[in-house]
Parts: sequence; C-alpha cells; structure tokens
Amino acid sequence: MSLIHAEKLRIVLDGSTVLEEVSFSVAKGEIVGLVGPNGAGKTTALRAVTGALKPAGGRVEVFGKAPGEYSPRALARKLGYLPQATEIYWSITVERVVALGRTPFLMPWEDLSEADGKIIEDAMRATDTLHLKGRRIDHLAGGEKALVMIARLLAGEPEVLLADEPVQGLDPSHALRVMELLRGVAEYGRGVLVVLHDLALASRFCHRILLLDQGKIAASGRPEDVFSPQNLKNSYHIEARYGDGDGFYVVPWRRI
Amino acid sequence: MKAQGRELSSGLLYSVLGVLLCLAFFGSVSVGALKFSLFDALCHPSSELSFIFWDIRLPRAVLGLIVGATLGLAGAAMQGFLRNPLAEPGILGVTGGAALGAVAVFYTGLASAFPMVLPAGGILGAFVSVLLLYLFAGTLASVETLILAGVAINVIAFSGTSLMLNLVRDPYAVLDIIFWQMGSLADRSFQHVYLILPFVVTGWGLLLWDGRALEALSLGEETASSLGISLRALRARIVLGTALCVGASIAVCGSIGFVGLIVPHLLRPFVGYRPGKLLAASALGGAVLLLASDIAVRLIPSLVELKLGVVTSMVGAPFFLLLIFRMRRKML
Repeated sequence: MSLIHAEKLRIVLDGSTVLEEVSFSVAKGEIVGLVGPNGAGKTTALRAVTGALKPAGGRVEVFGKAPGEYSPRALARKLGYLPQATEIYWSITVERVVALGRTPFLMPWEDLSEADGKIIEDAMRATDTLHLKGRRIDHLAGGEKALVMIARLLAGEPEVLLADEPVQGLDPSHALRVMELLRGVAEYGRGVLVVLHDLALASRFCHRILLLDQGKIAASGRPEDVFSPQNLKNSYHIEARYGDGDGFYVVPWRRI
Repeated sequence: MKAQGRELSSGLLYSVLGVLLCLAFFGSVSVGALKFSLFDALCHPSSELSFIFWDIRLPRAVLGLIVGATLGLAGAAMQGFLRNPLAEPGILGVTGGAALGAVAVFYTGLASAFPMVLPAGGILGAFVSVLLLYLFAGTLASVETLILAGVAINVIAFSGTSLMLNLVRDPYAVLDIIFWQMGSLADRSFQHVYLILPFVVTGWGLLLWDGRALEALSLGEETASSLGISLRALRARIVLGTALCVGASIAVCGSIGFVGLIVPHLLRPFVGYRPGKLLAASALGGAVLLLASDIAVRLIPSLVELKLGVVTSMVGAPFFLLLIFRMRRKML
C-alpha cells in the first residue's frame, strides 16, 4: 500500500503552473529521492503533500485521504516534514528543539510525559545528538544542527518523513550520516521522500528516484534507470561518471 | 538572541515571582500619602483608614496587578508570535490604538452614560491596531519594518486623538483626557476592576492557550504548521486575546508603555528562551513591575504625584534604545 500517492498533480502559483501532471507514490519501507534542476518544482511537490498547497488539478493522498481531510494535528502525527533550512528564532536548548517533535501528541495544557521523554531521548540517541541536549541550538555547527533537526523529525514518530534538502551545506561525513539515518528509518518500515541536489548521495541511498524537470516528471524508477546519460543530459545538461563496484553510484562530471 | 544566564525550574521561577508579587502587592496597599498600619485598617471596619484601604488602595493594587500582568503577558505573546524581541503593545501601536478608542468614547460622552462602552472602545481600538500591524508588517517582518509599522499606527492613533482633543469645547475635559492618557492607577475603584475583568480574563485565556504553539513557532511557520499548529487559529487568538486584555486595561488606566518590552526581555534567560514558558512568567513579572512602579510614583518626592505611564516610559524608552543598539551591534 502506498503511504503517499499523487495522481496527475497540478499546482499553480501566482498564475503560473509549477507542477503539471505529476504522479508518484511512496511505499512503506522505501526512500524515494526527488531530484531535478533548480526551479523544477521539488519543494512544491513536497509542500503539496503536506497540504500547504492546494492542487489546481489531480490529487494527492496521504494514507488514502487528501491532506485537507485530516485535522492539522492528525496529519502531523502521520507526516513529518523537515523544510529547507529550518529557521530558529530563539536560543532554546537542543533537548527542547527535539521535544517540539512531540507537539502533535500534546494538548496545549499537557506537559511531556515520561514516555515522551523516552521517545525524545531515543531520537537523540539515534542521531548521536544526546551529548548536545543541554547546548543552545544557535551555538551548534551546521552539521550538528542538521542532525538535531532530524532528531526533531524522528521524535514525532511519523509514518512518512518528508525532507527538503536535509544535507544542504553539510560536509561529506555529516551528509552521509543524515542519509544513513533516513535510509535506516525507511528500512525500519516507514516511508521517506527526500529532496536532494547531490546525485551521488541520491544514487547511493535512494530505492527509487523521481526526476523532475520544469514541473514535470522527466523520469522515475531505480537510480540506475533514472540517472541514464540521456536523462542527465536532457535535464541537467551534464555528463556523469558511473560506478557499480559497491552498489550503483553516479558522479556529475562535466557540463555539456 | 544569544543565550545568557540560566534556565530556572518552573517551580523555582514561579515561587520567586510569586514572592516578589506578594511583596509588591503588600507594598502597594501599604504606601500612600497617609501612613497607617494595615492592622488598624482591617480591625476597624467603619474607620476612615478602613475606607482608604478598601476603597482606594486595594482597588489600585488589584488594578495594578491586572494591568501589569496583561501588559507583560501581551508583550511576551506578541514577541513570540512575531518572533521579535522588540514587539510590544506600546511600540507597535496597540496601546495607542486602544487609547484612541477610549478617547473616542470619552469624547462622545458615551463613557459617562454607558460605562461598559469604555472598555469596548479600548478593545476595538486595540483590535484595529493589531490587524493594521499584521497587514502592514506580516509575521516575518524585519525589526525595521515592524517598528516602522508601529510608528505608522502610533501616528494614526495620535492624529485621531489630537483631532478629538482639538474638537472638544470644554477645556477641563481636554485636561482630563490629557491626564488620563498619561496613564495612572490613582483614583480607580473596584467598579473599574469589575468593568474590565471579564475581557481581561478572556484575553489572558486566549494568550496562555498559545504557549505550545508559540514554542513550535520558534522553528518558523512552515515547521510549526507541519507540527499540527493551525496558524490561522493561532493568529486569531493572538489578535483577539491582545485586543481584549490590552484594550480593556488601557481603557481604564490610560497609556502605560514598555512593561511588555522590559519584562519578557529580563525573564527570557530564566525560562531558557522558551516563548511558551515566558507567557505566565511575564504575566507575573509584569504585575510585579507595574506595582513596583506605582509604589515609586507615590514615593518620588514631587509637588504633584507623577503619572505611572510617565515613569514607565522614562525607564522603558532608554531600555528600548539599548535593545536596538545591542541588536544593531550584533548585526554588524
């Protein structure tokens, strides 16, 4: 069963069509990479799944229902969303940031229970951020902050995770750590839809790839099929080098 | 906002603020032109001292507590909602709007005919101001845009108030309005308390309800929304809650500024910079600060009693400038 299913999705923003006839799905246990050149409509597709954008045509479903059919809290319990470059406005501690992941489960007057505390601790342990729990979020380095944000996402125990460029600006070690975590979450029985610009990471970690170009699906399927020389030439105007010694991977090589 | 200081446990924080509030309240009912023992006033119910205690000092202290808590709470809520430490009902024009609404009620003579119209005028003025602020600046405005929007609303409110003062024929009425605008807790009775209490309590309820939503908003609107927070409902509660409690308070006490700026700023380190936990703490802190300021106006030697709004402005304005200076230095 598909956790997320989009059918002929069409999104219009300020009078211009950003997504046109886009269909995709995310199943339990898989990590799907959403790739494409800048302005292809990747973030728009994610935001349509969260219900922040209403389709002008087609439909998108989360567990068989349109996002708008859920109450905001009910949807938040099913769907975890990590936006591109999360803003942080106050100097709160890492532990409090991660605890915010429990928001959909708490009423305004409720405090965190012992069980919530355990989930928060587990999320920090999984992301190797437990030692940072008393630190102020704005005092952390970019890589540490990215892991804390993933911990916040995991603390909500969502069945589907949507992440918009979670490795942006990270060094290779932290980027690999984030991708290992997302893959691990998917293999644990959840669904992950992740926007990536790094084709090497996308080819290495994603079960399936959706290549978006100018608001349309240019290709979809296994990384080996989607990252074909022709597709990369058409969408990115690049040539790539391929490897399959220890699993398939692609490295952008030169512009055409 | 850089972290400084240390987060206190809720129990310790509220205990300290509670003790300070009790001391300030006790000080407020004890200090005045006439020195007497509270014991004497309470033990002789029909005496003049008893009258001074029950009908003059106690309503003044209760009103100080309510208005101070309102201004502290509204300041913390606006700062959390707009994610800006400079947001405050006075600077952003909400107090000015409420004052304009109340002056309009005075001007038309409705206040003396129908007392309930007075808080309604203040609430309406505050409501329009918050809406205008939101329309001018939105929620992601820079500090500069926000302050400019506040300046614009304050100018509009000031012009409207000036127009009404200009049109009033009775010079005594003009003086009354001018003095009222300076903000004071003097010469208020329990009638004023009863008049504003339903509005203020409803406003407090709406603002305190938003603690968790404001915490989620620390990570931006998109994340807060993905955590199940309805931004539309949050916005409605903040606008309505602020308008109800600030509007009603200003309607009976006049313009009292800067409490909502100073108190959340001072308490923020002790709540670990958490906008939700800051709400109740700022309400208590606001009550302490306003009661302490009201004691100060009675203790500062002068020919006539200083107005409370004048004292809070004299302390608050340099504080505001210092905050801007520190934020500017951080940006450089």
